[in-house]
Amino acid sequence: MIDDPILLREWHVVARLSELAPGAVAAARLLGVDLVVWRSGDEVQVWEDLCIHRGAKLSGGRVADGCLMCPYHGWTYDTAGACVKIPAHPAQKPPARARARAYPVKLAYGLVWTCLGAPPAELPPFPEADDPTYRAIPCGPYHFRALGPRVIENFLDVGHFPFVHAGYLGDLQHTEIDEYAAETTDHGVIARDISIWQPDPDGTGRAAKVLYTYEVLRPLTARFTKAQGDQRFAMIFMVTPVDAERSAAWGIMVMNYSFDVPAEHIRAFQDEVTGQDRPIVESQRPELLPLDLQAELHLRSDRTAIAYRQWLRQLGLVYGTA
Amino acid sequence: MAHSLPAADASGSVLAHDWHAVARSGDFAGGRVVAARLLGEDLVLWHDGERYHAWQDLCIHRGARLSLGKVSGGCLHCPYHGWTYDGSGACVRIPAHPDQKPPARARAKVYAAREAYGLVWACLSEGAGELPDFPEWGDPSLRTFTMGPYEMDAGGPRIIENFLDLAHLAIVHEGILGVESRAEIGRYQVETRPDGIFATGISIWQPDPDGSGQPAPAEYTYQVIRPLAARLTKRAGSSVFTMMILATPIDPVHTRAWIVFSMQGAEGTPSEQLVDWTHRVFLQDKPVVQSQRPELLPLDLQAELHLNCDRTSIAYRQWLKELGVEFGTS
Repeated sequence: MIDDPILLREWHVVARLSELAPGAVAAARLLGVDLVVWRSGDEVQVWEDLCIHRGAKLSGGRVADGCLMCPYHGWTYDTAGACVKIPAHPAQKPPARARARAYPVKLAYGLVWTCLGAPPAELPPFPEADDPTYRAIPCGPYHFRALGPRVIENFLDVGHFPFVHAGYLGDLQHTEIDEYAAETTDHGVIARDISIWQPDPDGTGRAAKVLYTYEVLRPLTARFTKAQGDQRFAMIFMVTPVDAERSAAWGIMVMNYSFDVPAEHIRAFQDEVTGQDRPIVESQRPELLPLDLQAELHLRSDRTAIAYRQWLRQLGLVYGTA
Repeated sequence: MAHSLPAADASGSVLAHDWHAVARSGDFAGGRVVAARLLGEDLVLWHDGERYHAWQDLCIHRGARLSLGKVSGGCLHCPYHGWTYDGSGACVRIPAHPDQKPPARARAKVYAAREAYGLVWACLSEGAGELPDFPEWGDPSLRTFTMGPYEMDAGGPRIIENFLDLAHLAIVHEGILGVESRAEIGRYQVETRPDGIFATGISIWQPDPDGSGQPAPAEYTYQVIRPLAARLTKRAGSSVFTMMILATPIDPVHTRAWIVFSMQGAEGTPSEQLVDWTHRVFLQDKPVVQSQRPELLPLDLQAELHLNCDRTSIAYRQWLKELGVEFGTS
């Protein structure tokens, strides 16, 4: 287990509920811990992916009669994590130590969340998810061979749009970034009034000058709202720290316009944009985000990144930073 | 490139004194040179026309791998500058200086090598004992087979323990070696003797005990003959099936597994069907064994849970501890 004092006490996304049908079993990995995620009816369990008998991965097993059955010797665990049946000794009461290690679960925004330590009361807020004037389009997981702080910083970065996302989020004729304000708050970071001209801001293909607001909600969760008049396009972006090398990023986009554009189309747009970011982010060295502001060069347009690094340092995040 | 034995191997000296299967005899056809890895040591294997050789895979001149070279005139030729080694490991020719007698230090590091059961074996230490015994080999009344290598992302002790395990038969091999409705394991006897572990008196009802497709109760006897070699004999219907598993340790968590087996009876079952059946059963085990954590077999019996049906594996862990096997264990 990666022993980061902050991330062990955070909720992290490990699965999408729509891809976890009743009776499904899936494997996930969080902070170096292998997890089995399984569903019986509407109940979802997240456990350490290990049967205590011979250490086999429970994610290779199956759900039967509301229980999870180990693939090796059929040890059968109920939803509370207690072994209730050992097929080789059906008359014997399973020993008390025969238990799965269960982690807390929250289901929200169509996602399965878990926490390896003491969980905070609340998930990152995303009020648009429950607002009927918006429609929500999930995207990801996007797998990065890079660590969360670099991935989040790229999500917050506007200076790269004309170069990495030319034709979508920027244009080589409009590379200048105007002044904007970024500040660190008690809850994270907020950057307002970032004005950018975009050839295709949202996958609808209609060019516009948009106004961005960015917010860092948690150490590895951020969001933006992109406004054009009354039109709002927002996205929340959660990075799951898989292990010391890898991340999985989950997104939810919401928009209050262009209901005629198919969700598939918008998701394909985001897949394309993230696919453009991935090789760049994976190439960044050092891999650990330097929180010492002397270590890399920062310009005025990097204010959000500066505030993010300062906030991470204040929090004491160890994972993915140096 | 450094070719010295890694620390993990130094601690695995019990295994360094043992024989391990490193290639199939058929791999050497046409003078082919074979590369293998054993206990963290890279080996070159070759046949000089009469004998098999297992050497450190290194030419002392510039450290090139001899396994990229070729056999000619009963000698092994380095691929880089053509240094030529005879069957004793001595360099007998340096093409750049054909008239100069090669220096005495120009020698390959030679290990013990043998051939048996369709396999070539190597031992990294002096004074290797006997090979694991498989007396059925060469008995003209039996059909015998050699299978493998199976490349496993798992340590040898986990693989041997799976071979000895009874309670998984009805789960992992459901429909072949057991059925879930008859998963219960009765009492059986386990005994640790100086020459290994013996488990007897095991009876399991099996839908297809021997690849013939004929259901029958199967009577098993298990024998652990080496830390990483075990065998079973199974009597079912009119057939007697004997199987030996060999787990060759590449490193603590990677293994090449081999199977040697014999069949007496089951005349109506074609040999290809027997091989397919064995292959299918092994591939059912592979993902489960590769998923086991910790990868190193815990010899402390408090670390995992053990039931009555696990008495062979309990004895195996105790025996490994007694022998001092540290490679692939914790």
